[in-house]
Amino acid sequence: MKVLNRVLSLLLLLALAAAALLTAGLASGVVTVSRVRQAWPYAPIEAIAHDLSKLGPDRTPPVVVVALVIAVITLALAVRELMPPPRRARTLLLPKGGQGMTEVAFGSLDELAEHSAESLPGIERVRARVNMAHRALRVRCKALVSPYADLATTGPALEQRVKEQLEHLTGVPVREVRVRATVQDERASRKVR
Amino acid sequence: MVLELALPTTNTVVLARAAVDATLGVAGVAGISRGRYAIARTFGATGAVIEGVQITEVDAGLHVEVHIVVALVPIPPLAAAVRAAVVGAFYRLGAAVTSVDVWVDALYLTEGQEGGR
Repeated sequence: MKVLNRVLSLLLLLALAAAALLTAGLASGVVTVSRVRQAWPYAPIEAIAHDLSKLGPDRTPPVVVVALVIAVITLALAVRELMPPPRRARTLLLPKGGQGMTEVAFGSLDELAEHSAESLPGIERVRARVNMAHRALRVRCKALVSPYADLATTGPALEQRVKEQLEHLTGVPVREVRVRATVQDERASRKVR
Repeated sequence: MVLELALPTTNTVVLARAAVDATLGVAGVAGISRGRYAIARTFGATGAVIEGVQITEVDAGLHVEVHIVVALVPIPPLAAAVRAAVVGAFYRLGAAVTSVDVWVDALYLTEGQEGGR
Protein backbone atom coordinates (compact mmCIF):
# COMPACT_ATOMS: atom_id res chain seq x y z
CA MET A 1 0.00 0.00 0.00
CA LYS A 2 2.84 2.32 0.88
CA VAL A 3 4.56 1.61 -2.44
CA LEU A 4 1.31 2.06 -4.39
CA ASN A 5 0.71 5.42 -2.67
CA ARG A 6 4.22 6.55 -3.54
CA VAL A 7 3.84 5.52 -7.18
CA LEU A 8 0.48 7.28 -7.45
CA SER A 9 1.77 10.48 -5.86
CA LEU A 10 4.83 10.38 -8.13
CA LEU A 11 2.63 10.03 -11.23
CA LEU A 12 0.41 12.87 -10.06
CA LEU A 13 3.38 15.14 -9.40
CA LEU A 14 4.91 14.37 -12.80
CA ALA A 15 1.57 15.05 -14.52
CA LEU A 16 1.30 18.38 -12.68
CA ALA A 17 4.87 19.30 -13.63
CA ALA A 18 4.19 18.43 -17.28
CA ALA A 19 0.98 20.50 -17.31
CA ALA A 20 2.76 23.46 -15.70
CA LEU A 21 5.65 23.30 -18.19
CA LEU A 22 3.22 23.01 -21.10
CA THR A 23 1.27 26.02 -19.82
CA ALA A 24 4.47 28.06 -19.56
CA GLY A 25 5.53 26.92 -23.04
CA LEU A 26 2.19 27.80 -24.62
CA ALA A 27 1.92 31.17 -22.87
CA SER A 28 5.47 32.16 -23.83
CA GLY A 29 5.12 30.89 -27.40
CA VAL A 30 7.79 28.20 -27.15
CA VAL A 31 5.15 25.52 -27.80
CA THR A 32 2.59 26.01 -30.56
CA VAL A 33 -1.07 24.96 -30.64
CA SER A 34 -0.48 22.83 -33.75
CA ARG A 35 2.18 20.83 -31.91
CA VAL A 36 -0.21 20.22 -29.00
CA ARG A 37 -2.87 19.12 -31.51
CA GLN A 38 -0.41 16.66 -33.05
CA ALA A 39 0.55 15.21 -29.68
CA TRP A 40 -2.94 15.07 -28.17
CA PRO A 41 -5.80 15.56 -30.66
CA TYR A 42 -8.51 16.16 -28.08
CA ALA A 43 -10.88 19.12 -28.44
CA PRO A 44 -10.87 20.42 -24.82
CA ILE A 45 -7.04 20.32 -24.71
CA GLU A 46 -6.89 22.14 -28.04
CA ALA A 47 -9.26 24.82 -26.70
CA ILE A 48 -7.13 25.31 -23.57
CA ALA A 49 -3.94 25.45 -25.66
CA HIS A 50 -5.56 28.00 -27.97
CA ASP A 51 -6.63 30.18 -25.01
CA LEU A 52 -3.16 30.03 -23.43
CA SER A 53 -1.45 31.02 -26.67
CA LYS A 54 -3.71 34.10 -26.98
CA LEU A 55 -3.24 35.58 -23.47
CA GLY A 56 -1.95 38.94 -24.50
CA PRO A 57 1.18 40.85 -23.37
CA ASP A 58 -0.17 41.92 -19.95
CA ARG A 59 -1.23 38.48 -18.72
CA THR A 60 1.54 36.34 -20.22
CA PRO A 61 4.39 37.11 -17.74
CA PRO A 62 2.45 36.26 -14.53
CA VAL A 63 1.05 33.05 -16.05
CA VAL A 64 4.52 31.95 -17.20
CA VAL A 65 6.05 32.75 -13.81
CA VAL A 66 3.34 30.97 -11.82
CA ALA A 67 3.50 27.94 -14.15
CA LEU A 68 7.28 27.73 -13.82
CA VAL A 69 7.08 28.02 -10.03
CA ILE A 70 4.52 25.20 -9.93
CA ALA A 71 6.71 23.10 -12.24
CA VAL A 72 9.76 23.60 -10.03
CA ILE A 73 7.84 22.78 -6.83
CA THR A 74 6.23 19.64 -8.26
CA LEU A 75 9.54 18.43 -9.73
CA ALA A 76 11.25 19.00 -6.36
CA LEU A 77 8.48 17.06 -4.61
CA ALA A 78 8.80 14.26 -7.17
CA VAL A 79 12.56 14.03 -6.56
CA ARG A 80 11.90 13.98 -2.80
CA GLU A 81 9.39 11.19 -3.31
CA LEU A 82 12.00 9.18 -5.19
CA MET A 83 14.55 9.49 -2.38
CA PRO A 84 14.68 6.53 0.02
CA PRO A 85 13.13 7.20 3.44
CA PRO A 86 15.63 8.09 6.17
CA ARG A 87 16.95 5.09 8.08
CA ARG A 88 16.76 4.85 11.81
CA ALA A 89 20.00 5.50 13.64
CA ARG A 90 21.53 2.44 15.27
CA THR A 91 21.76 3.94 18.71
CA LEU A 92 19.89 6.37 20.88
CA LEU A 93 22.23 9.00 22.26
CA LEU A 94 21.09 9.91 25.75
CA PRO A 95 21.44 13.48 27.04
CA LYS A 96 25.00 14.08 28.16
CA GLY A 97 25.69 13.64 31.85
CA GLY A 98 29.40 13.86 32.58
CA GLN A 99 32.54 13.11 30.62
CA GLY A 100 31.45 10.85 27.81
CA MET A 101 28.46 9.69 25.85
CA THR A 102 25.81 7.15 26.72
CA GLU A 103 24.36 5.27 23.81
CA VAL A 104 21.64 2.65 23.79
CA ALA A 105 21.06 0.36 20.82
CA PHE A 106 17.60 0.93 19.36
CA GLY A 107 17.37 -2.82 18.83
CA SER A 108 17.49 -3.38 22.58
CA LEU A 109 14.77 -0.77 23.11
CA ASP A 110 12.62 -2.63 20.57
CA GLU A 111 13.17 -5.78 22.62
CA LEU A 112 12.28 -3.97 25.83
CA ALA A 113 9.03 -2.64 24.35
CA GLU A 114 8.14 -6.14 23.12
CA HIS A 115 9.05 -7.74 26.44
CA SER A 116 7.04 -5.27 28.51
CA ALA A 117 4.02 -5.52 26.20
CA GLU A 118 4.08 -9.31 26.15
CA SER A 119 4.00 -9.44 29.93
CA LEU A 120 0.44 -8.09 29.85
CA PRO A 121 -2.42 -10.61 30.04
CA GLY A 122 -4.14 -11.12 26.71
CA ILE A 123 -1.12 -10.11 24.62
CA GLU A 124 0.26 -13.08 22.72
CA ARG A 125 3.00 -11.55 20.58
CA VAL A 126 4.31 -8.04 19.89
CA ARG A 127 6.67 -6.58 17.34
CA ALA A 128 7.81 -3.07 18.27
CA ARG A 129 9.98 -0.43 16.68
CA VAL A 130 11.24 2.50 18.72
CA ASN A 131 12.29 5.70 17.02
CA MET A 132 13.52 9.11 18.07
CA ALA A 133 11.84 12.25 16.72
CA HIS A 134 11.94 15.79 18.09
CA ARG A 135 13.72 14.78 21.33
CA ALA A 136 11.10 12.20 22.20
CA LEU A 137 10.57 8.54 21.52
CA ARG A 138 7.88 7.17 19.25
CA VAL A 139 6.89 3.54 19.30
CA ARG A 140 5.02 1.51 16.74
CA CYS A 141 3.71 -1.85 17.86
CA LYS A 142 2.02 -4.71 16.07
CA ALA A 143 0.28 -6.80 18.68
CA LEU A 144 -1.36 -10.19 18.39
CA VAL A 145 -4.15 -10.19 20.96
CA SER A 146 -5.94 -13.18 22.43
CA PRO A 147 -9.57 -13.52 21.27
CA TYR A 148 -10.63 -13.59 24.92
CA ALA A 149 -8.95 -10.30 25.81
CA ASP A 150 -10.90 -7.07 26.08
CA LEU A 151 -9.47 -4.86 23.35
CA ALA A 152 -10.90 -1.72 24.95
CA THR A 153 -8.68 -2.15 28.00
CA THR A 154 -5.77 -4.16 26.54
CA GLY A 155 -4.78 -1.51 23.97
CA PRO A 156 -4.46 1.42 26.41
CA ALA A 157 -2.77 -0.84 28.99
CA LEU A 158 -0.20 -1.87 26.40
CA GLU A 159 0.48 1.74 25.44
CA GLN A 160 0.85 2.73 29.07
CA ARG A 161 3.18 -0.18 29.94
CA VAL A 162 5.49 0.44 26.96
CA LYS A 163 5.59 4.18 27.64
CA GLU A 164 6.37 3.72 31.35
CA GLN A 165 9.11 1.15 30.77
CA LEU A 166 10.90 3.14 28.09
CA GLU A 167 10.71 6.38 30.04
CA HIS A 168 11.88 4.64 33.22
CA LEU A 169 14.92 3.12 31.53
CA THR A 170 16.04 5.89 29.19
CA GLY A 171 14.76 9.02 30.92
CA VAL A 172 13.61 10.24 27.49
CA PRO A 173 9.91 11.13 27.16
CA VAL A 174 7.75 8.91 24.98
CA ARG A 175 5.51 11.02 22.80
CA GLU A 176 3.52 8.33 21.08
CA VAL A 177 2.85 4.62 21.25
CA ARG A 178 0.93 3.49 18.21
CA VAL A 179 -0.56 0.03 18.45
CA ARG A 180 -1.98 -2.02 15.62
CA ALA A 181 -3.78 -4.98 17.15
CA THR A 182 -4.76 -8.19 15.42
CA VAL A 183 -7.03 -10.67 17.14
CA GLN A 184 -5.61 -14.16 17.22
CA ASP A 185 -7.45 -17.09 15.69
CA GLU A 186 -9.47 -18.86 18.34
CA ARG A 187 -7.94 -22.25 17.41
CA ALA A 188 -4.34 -20.99 17.50
CA SER A 189 -2.03 -22.12 20.28
CA ARG A 190 -1.67 -19.62 23.10
CA LYS A 191 0.90 -18.78 25.74
CA VAL A 192 0.50 -20.46 29.07
CA ARG A 193 1.12 -17.98 31.86
CA MET B 1 71.21 -12.92 21.71
CA VAL B 2 68.40 -11.30 23.67
CA LEU B 3 65.67 -9.62 21.69
CA GLU B 4 64.05 -6.76 23.55
CA LEU B 5 60.51 -5.83 22.67
CA ALA B 6 59.41 -2.27 23.25
CA LEU B 7 56.33 -2.50 25.47
CA PRO B 8 54.05 0.49 25.98
CA THR B 9 54.60 2.32 29.25
CA THR B 10 50.93 1.88 30.21
CA ASN B 11 49.72 -1.65 29.69
CA THR B 12 46.36 -1.22 28.00
CA VAL B 13 45.31 -4.79 28.76
CA VAL B 14 45.72 -4.18 32.47
CA LEU B 15 43.67 -1.02 32.14
CA ALA B 16 41.00 -2.76 30.06
CA ARG B 17 40.80 -5.57 32.61
CA ALA B 18 40.43 -2.99 35.37
CA ALA B 19 37.67 -1.27 33.39
CA VAL B 20 35.83 -4.58 32.99
CA ASP B 21 36.12 -5.38 36.70
CA ALA B 22 35.03 -1.88 37.72
CA THR B 23 32.07 -1.98 35.33
CA LEU B 24 30.91 -5.40 36.49
CA GLY B 25 30.98 -4.13 40.06
CA VAL B 26 28.29 -1.56 39.33
CA ALA B 27 24.81 -2.61 40.43
CA GLY B 28 22.56 -2.95 37.39
CA VAL B 29 25.28 -4.09 35.00
CA ALA B 30 24.39 -7.62 33.95
CA GLY B 31 27.44 -8.22 31.80
CA ILE B 32 29.98 -7.00 29.30
CA SER B 33 29.02 -7.04 25.64
CA ARG B 34 31.43 -7.56 22.75
CA GLY B 35 29.70 -4.74 20.86
CA ARG B 36 26.49 -4.91 18.91
CA TYR B 37 27.60 -3.60 15.52
CA ALA B 38 31.37 -3.93 15.74
CA ILE B 39 33.47 -5.86 18.20
CA ALA B 40 35.14 -3.63 20.78
CA ARG B 41 38.50 -5.07 21.81
CA THR B 42 41.68 -4.08 23.51
CA PHE B 43 44.78 -5.87 22.26
CA GLY B 44 47.82 -6.33 24.42
CA ALA B 45 51.42 -6.58 23.32
CA THR B 46 51.60 -10.22 24.47
CA GLY B 47 48.56 -11.27 22.43
CA ALA B 48 46.02 -10.87 25.22
CA VAL B 49 42.63 -9.58 24.11
CA ILE B 50 39.95 -7.99 26.30
CA GLU B 51 36.55 -7.77 24.67
CA GLY B 52 33.92 -5.12 25.40
CA VAL B 53 36.37 -2.36 26.24
CA GLN B 54 38.26 -0.19 23.83
CA ILE B 55 40.92 2.25 24.94
CA THR B 56 42.20 5.01 22.70
CA GLU B 57 44.98 7.41 23.55
CA VAL B 58 44.06 11.03 23.02
CA ASP B 59 46.07 14.17 23.70
CA ALA B 60 45.02 14.72 27.29
CA GLY B 61 44.72 11.08 28.39
CA LEU B 62 42.68 8.03 27.54
CA HIS B 63 39.31 7.69 25.91
CA VAL B 64 37.49 4.57 27.09
CA GLU B 65 34.54 2.85 25.44
CA VAL B 66 32.67 0.28 27.52
CA HIS B 67 30.00 -2.01 26.05
CA ILE B 68 27.54 -3.39 28.56
CA VAL B 69 24.41 -5.45 29.04
CA VAL B 70 22.16 -3.90 31.66
CA ALA B 71 19.29 -5.04 33.84
CA LEU B 72 15.97 -3.19 33.81
CA VAL B 73 17.23 -0.14 35.69
CA PRO B 74 17.35 3.55 34.70
CA ILE B 75 20.24 3.90 32.26
CA PRO B 76 21.47 7.51 32.82
CA PRO B 77 22.40 7.02 36.52
CA LEU B 78 23.80 3.58 35.72
CA ALA B 79 26.01 5.07 32.99
CA ALA B 80 27.19 7.74 35.41
CA ALA B 81 28.07 5.04 37.96
CA VAL B 82 29.97 3.03 35.31
CA ARG B 83 31.83 6.17 34.26
CA ALA B 84 32.79 6.95 37.87
CA ALA B 85 33.89 3.35 38.51
CA VAL B 86 36.09 3.25 35.41
CA VAL B 87 37.64 6.66 36.14
CA GLY B 88 38.32 5.53 39.73
CA ALA B 89 39.93 2.27 38.62
CA PHE B 90 42.15 4.07 36.11
CA TYR B 91 43.09 6.69 38.68
CA ARG B 92 44.29 3.95 41.03
CA LEU B 93 46.47 2.63 38.20
CA GLY B 94 47.83 6.11 37.54
CA ALA B 95 46.14 6.65 34.18
CA ALA B 96 44.27 9.80 33.27
CA VAL B 97 40.89 9.42 31.58
CA THR B 98 39.39 12.17 29.42
CA SER B 99 36.07 10.50 28.68
CA VAL B 100 34.21 7.22 29.12
CA ASP B 101 31.59 6.33 26.54
CA VAL B 102 29.03 3.84 27.78
CA TRP B 103 27.31 1.74 25.14
CA VAL B 104 24.25 -0.21 26.23
CA ASP B 105 24.23 -2.98 23.65
CA ALA B 106 21.55 -5.15 25.21
CA LEU B 107 19.11 -5.30 28.07
CA TYR B 108 18.84 -8.21 30.42
CA LEU B 109 15.11 -8.72 30.25
CA THR B 110 14.60 -10.83 33.35
CA GLU B 111 13.46 -8.65 36.19
CA GLY B 112 15.08 -8.96 39.58
CA GLN B 113 18.47 -10.04 38.18
CA GLU B 114 20.97 -7.26 38.44
CA GLY B 115 24.54 -6.56 39.25
CA GLY B 116 27.69 -8.57 39.44
CA ARG B 117 28.97 -11.11 37.03
